[in-house]
Amino acid sequence: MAINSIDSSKRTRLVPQNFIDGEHSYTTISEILAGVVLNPKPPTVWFVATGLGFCVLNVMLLAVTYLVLTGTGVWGNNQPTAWAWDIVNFVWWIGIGHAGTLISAILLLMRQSWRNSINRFAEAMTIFAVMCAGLYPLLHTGRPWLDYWLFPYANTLGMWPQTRSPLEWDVFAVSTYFTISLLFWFLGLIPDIATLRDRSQHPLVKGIYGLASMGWIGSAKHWFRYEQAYNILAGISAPLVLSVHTIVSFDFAVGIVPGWHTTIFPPYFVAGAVFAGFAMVLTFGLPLRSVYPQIKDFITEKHLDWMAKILLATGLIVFYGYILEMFYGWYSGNTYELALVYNRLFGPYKWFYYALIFCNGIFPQLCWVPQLRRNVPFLFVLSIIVGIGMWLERFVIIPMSLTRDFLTSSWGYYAPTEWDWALFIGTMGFFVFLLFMFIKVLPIINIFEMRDLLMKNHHQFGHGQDGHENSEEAH
Amino acid sequence: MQRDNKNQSNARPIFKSFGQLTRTPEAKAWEDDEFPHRESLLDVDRRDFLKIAGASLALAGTAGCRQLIMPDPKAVPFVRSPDGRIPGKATEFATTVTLAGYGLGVVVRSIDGRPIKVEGNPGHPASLGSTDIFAQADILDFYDPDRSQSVIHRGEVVSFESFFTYLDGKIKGFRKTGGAGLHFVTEAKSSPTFTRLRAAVLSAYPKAGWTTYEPFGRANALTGTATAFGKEIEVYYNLKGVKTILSLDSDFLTSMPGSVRYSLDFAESRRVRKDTSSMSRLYAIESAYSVTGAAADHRIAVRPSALETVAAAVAAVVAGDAAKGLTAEETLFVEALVADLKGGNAVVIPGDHTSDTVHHYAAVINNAIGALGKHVFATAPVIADKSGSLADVAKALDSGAVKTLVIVGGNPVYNAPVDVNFSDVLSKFTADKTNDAIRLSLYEDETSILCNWHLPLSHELESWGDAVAFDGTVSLSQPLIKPLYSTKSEIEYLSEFLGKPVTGEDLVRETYGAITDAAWGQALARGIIRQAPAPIAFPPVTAAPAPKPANTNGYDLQFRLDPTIHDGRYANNAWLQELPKPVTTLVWDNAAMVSTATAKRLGIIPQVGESDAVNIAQYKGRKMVELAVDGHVLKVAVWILPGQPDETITLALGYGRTHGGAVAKGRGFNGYKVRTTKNLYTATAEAKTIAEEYELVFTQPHHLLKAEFVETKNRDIVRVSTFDEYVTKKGEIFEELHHGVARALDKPHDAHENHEGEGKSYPADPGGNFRYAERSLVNKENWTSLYPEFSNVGYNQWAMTIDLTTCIGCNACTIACQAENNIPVVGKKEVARGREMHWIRLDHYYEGTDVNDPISHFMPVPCMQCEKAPCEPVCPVAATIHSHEGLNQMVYNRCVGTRYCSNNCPYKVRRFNFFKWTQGVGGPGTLDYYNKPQLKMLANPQVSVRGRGVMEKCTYCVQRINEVRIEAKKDGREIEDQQVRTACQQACPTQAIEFGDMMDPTSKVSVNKSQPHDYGLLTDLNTRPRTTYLARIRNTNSKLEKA
Repeated sequence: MAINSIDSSKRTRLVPQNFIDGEHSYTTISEILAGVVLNPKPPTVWFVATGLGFCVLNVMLLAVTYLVLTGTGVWGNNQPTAWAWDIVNFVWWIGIGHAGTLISAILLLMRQSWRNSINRFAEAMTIFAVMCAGLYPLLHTGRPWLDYWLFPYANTLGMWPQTRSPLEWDVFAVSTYFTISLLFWFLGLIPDIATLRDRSQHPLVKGIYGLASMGWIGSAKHWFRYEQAYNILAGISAPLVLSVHTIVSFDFAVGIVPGWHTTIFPPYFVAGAVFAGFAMVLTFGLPLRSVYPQIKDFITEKHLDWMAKILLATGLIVFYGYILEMFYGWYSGNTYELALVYNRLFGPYKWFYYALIFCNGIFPQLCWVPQLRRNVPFLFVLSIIVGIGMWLERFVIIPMSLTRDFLTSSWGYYAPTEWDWALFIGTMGFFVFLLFMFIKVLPIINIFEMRDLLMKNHHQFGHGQDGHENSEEAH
Repeated sequence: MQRDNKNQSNARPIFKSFGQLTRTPEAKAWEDDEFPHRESLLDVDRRDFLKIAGASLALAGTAGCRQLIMPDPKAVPFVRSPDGRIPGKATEFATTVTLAGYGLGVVVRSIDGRPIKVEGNPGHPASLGSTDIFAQADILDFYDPDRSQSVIHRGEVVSFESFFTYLDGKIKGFRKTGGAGLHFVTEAKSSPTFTRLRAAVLSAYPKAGWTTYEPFGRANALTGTATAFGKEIEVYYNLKGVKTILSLDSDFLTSMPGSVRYSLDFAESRRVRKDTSSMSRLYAIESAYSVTGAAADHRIAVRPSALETVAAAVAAVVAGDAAKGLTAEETLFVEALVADLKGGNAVVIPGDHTSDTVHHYAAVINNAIGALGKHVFATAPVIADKSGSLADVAKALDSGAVKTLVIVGGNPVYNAPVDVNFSDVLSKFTADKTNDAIRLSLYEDETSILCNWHLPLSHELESWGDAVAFDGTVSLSQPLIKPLYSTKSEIEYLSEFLGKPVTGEDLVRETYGAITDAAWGQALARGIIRQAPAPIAFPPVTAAPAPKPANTNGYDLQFRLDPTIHDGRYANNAWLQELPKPVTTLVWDNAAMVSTATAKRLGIIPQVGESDAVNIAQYKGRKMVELAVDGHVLKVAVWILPGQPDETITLALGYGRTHGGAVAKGRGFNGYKVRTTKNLYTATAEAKTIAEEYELVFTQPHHLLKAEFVETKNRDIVRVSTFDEYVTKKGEIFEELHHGVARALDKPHDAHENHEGEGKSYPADPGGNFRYAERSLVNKENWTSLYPEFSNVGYNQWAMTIDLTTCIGCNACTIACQAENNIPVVGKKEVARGREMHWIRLDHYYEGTDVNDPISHFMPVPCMQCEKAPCEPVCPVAATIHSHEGLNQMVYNRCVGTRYCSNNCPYKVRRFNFFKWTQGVGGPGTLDYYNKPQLKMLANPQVSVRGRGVMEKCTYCVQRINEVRIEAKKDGREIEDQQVRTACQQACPTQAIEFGDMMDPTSKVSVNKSQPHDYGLLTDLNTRPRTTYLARIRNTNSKLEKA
């Protein structure tokens, strides 16, 4: 019996809880989730959000056009602050994407079945965020029309990229990341697209879904291959969660600027990315639940609770990183590092640093309170604050460190221009627009995974029983 | 509709066709079509379409037959090429540029017939091969698109002929009247030809008048000598072998005639090398912070009005009496100073703007310490004519005594003393149509627009002329190119006034009598036609008058020449406008300089607060004061300058121009508006803070290097020591900064010893490419690295040293680099955003804990050409790479502009083209190389003009290296030391910059690098910089050392 009890406790951890609230059957799940897409009249909020996103998207197009026509000088970047909002926003967007990959790949491999309710839109956010992020390195160069020189391609000059540069590593890291994320997302969509194909009425819609579903008929063979492919891609994606932000952090860690040249950056950046990513999932997931109340059964308070816990955990890692950065600076005794500590605490940008500590270090500590972890308004505020905090973190690292480096004569000051704002806000519009288009076109929650979850629930808890408290007994 | 019906019913039905009558749709379409039956493209069938297309294609080729039908522009090659002309190859011509009349011998590089770069003339005593910022920037003045290009009569462009027709009529009248009513006003001219023509004009028209007006001349110096020696003589100095210099408010290193030469001699007396046993000492008594004061070993600040008292006190102490009227600190200073002055080989140099009494005292002291005839010499006044005053001219204009006024150069409407009210007088004068004001000028400026005739002058680089240098040497100017526009030089215009126009060359040659062609040719080649005359013996010195007591009420308002745009004559020079002014690093503006205490009193910075230093650091240069002198008022922005005497406001002249080019217009504050005849240099002023704001722009934030700021603490940037310590420790100073490693290179160049006598073959690489942590000239601290050492086998290894002891911070290097390397100008707004482009910048640091009396250090920072350059590995496209000769190269064509290199450069010497700087996007006044044809000619053809979005930086003047290497290869020899000279090195008046091959143990750069006080900047980052610095050694007097 002792052995049995150990086994069952392990089992408990793997499939611990019922993650679907309310009374649901396979049919209701499909109807609710496919209904969001196939409903001919989306809620007004959808129109408002999509329209707003579209307008702001045009601000981005304007900002990009003006930038390419005029020059990098339209931004506030200067000497010594050669990188500023361009790279801050790049890292911020890339970081936001991380939750998607973490949820889809790592949590899948760890058999965290609760991730099934949120992985679809988290993955979509990943892809859109990487698209926003990718814009920045492409546009921040002085001559964006020559960006293709960063790609290794055979040319008559016999010139290849310079592979010692972390920017070159970025090219591969980000493009791999984008490709794998896209594939992974699309693969996971195929069974659902087939569902939409089967349920849609209009022949054109049916045709498009039919093409996108790639002939999925739900046979056992299909399912078998699907599972294999999905797990393989998950296996490939899992290291990407670590590698992408590690490499992005190398952009700074490899540099010799005080405040950049730190070995702690890779883990601290990855944790920060997951932190920011989960915040972003909340930022969009919570309003989604209120816009489409029918999905509250699938993104339950338990999900919110778990996400808040992950936020707390990664937030603590990040906070630890901040403390250590300061400690290293002080402990090194190095003139420049000490000056950096001083500059962060008492320099002209000190309020940014204090705000960062509040947003990422202090405020998330409220997640220790279980009631708050299920409090939707609180979580929404938290997610926004963490989003701001993570942006501030990049601001503190990138331009703040650059304004004060080795020679005091070269110290400078950085302030963004209206075009910095336009592009940043514009990318947000781009993101929102894509996300709402996605909501209208593809199921935001994985239909078949939900049905699978329902099946597992039935197996574990018995039909109709909402009894996570007696899971052991059910086994 | 109704009317239509009515018309129709009234009109008789007339029709041309039946279709029209029946109103069929076809007929309607036919009617409505403007061109019925036309062929549209749709009507063309396939075969016709192909025919037309084919014919179009064939006819397109006939564009090549253009010259058959259109006139063919003539481009005829040289039938006989001028002697020695090789296309694309630079030739050099000796000529002379002048500043306020004084000549500076220069050599101008000309490529394919256009002047490109001004360098010093090594044979000219005022230059000895170096130049100042003005000579360097002259080339931009020459190509300035804003320069006047045509004759303007009452606002309309007219031909030269119409002026000469007018002039002929006038001349006839003058001949009859003996020139009554004719008056000339000229700027200061030393030219013997000009003087000869002036005499000729005055003898032809004996009743004509002549006035020379120079706003900031040496009048006080001449009056001072007149009272001291009984006659006006031009005093100049020879600082060779000098031991002690006292500067009595003189900025003899940058703003006196002969400054370039003085700087070199001063530097020679202070060049500290391993075995140096003596060094000169400079004391400065200053009323403003000048470059000379920054270079001084000891400096005190006194109010300008107290200067006479201090000068008298110095004279008294020299004579053995007690100093009167000094504070305890000043007394101590004067006593220590006099002890040194009496030690022999000493000299006192008073500033040109100081009162004649100060000059008199200087003469007295120089006489007492035996400097006269040893370090102080005299020659006849260089500016021969100083007759009349502008006030008299104004009176004559007003009274109608003058009917024809000729203003040659200068800009009296702008820079006349405000009480002369020249602008109103002149406009009243020209309002009367019977009066004529004729203006000869380079620009259509404030004076020109009030004159009814404006005649364009030729620039010095395109005209014949001559000039006298500070010591009396006469040198020639020859045109480098035919005048760009139809312009004439002053002497040519004067010859027109004589009624017998002669060419410039003949005019100049005539001055020198019967000179043979050979001698003339030789003089042109050397630039000099008459060596300096033997110095005049000094008459006995008379006793000086009692000093005027110092001003005790109000503020002392002091006018100074602007460090970069002089008296305003260079206001349209964008290079000089954007050149950071020494010490303050202000650009594009002037400002009222005040001390910390005065700033507090005026309410510019708070009385209390963290500390004065913090308050100054946080002052952004936005507040303004209103200055009032005798009822004349000027609003001006304030800048806090530590080291400025209290209750003293220093204002640079030359700004606040209203006309005279897009660059000059509307910048800064016009100090002439509060400058009166009585108080030309120092006035008593009222000042009060006003609510208005102004944005001053500077290139460098101001931090005290070793002050209380935690952030700046312990930064090993400028190494400073005293000469005493240097001598005691045999140069082994700063050992504590060498991190416990035994000093490298105890025996310099031991690696090369075996190879001496074998010519210049380089040693074989002993350990292949992978030698670890070898002590070398660039790795004295013996830092180890994981990366392979730079392999330097078989190539010249270029390196540079900069001597911080002799660097005076004059900025000549920056402007020389700008001229040589086509560096763009970005404009005030972009400098404010930190985007200036200078490849070599002059960092300025203060040292000390007393914000009122800090020590200044200048540090020129070009690219360090690091052997392990942090910029190189981070470039994703390999646009910045290392050459075999150790240059960190920038490949503009490959650069995509990620700017990572700039982030990773610890010296921040990389500059980014945020916009199309070379197309003048920085705003009015920035240089548009693409659309201004003149500026197209300005660009050095040997250096790429960089486009938008690429990074750039110092190249060690790689084009000069290549030019020399090509010649050396052609001759099959090695490059000799000093054959390659970078632009900054060549211009440097103190020769503080040395460049050469560090693998050649005898090269000057190697010798400098093996000096014990040579150090690299930020070497603890293991960058192995090729540019290194010789620590600043100050020859302080132990009696004056502060505790």
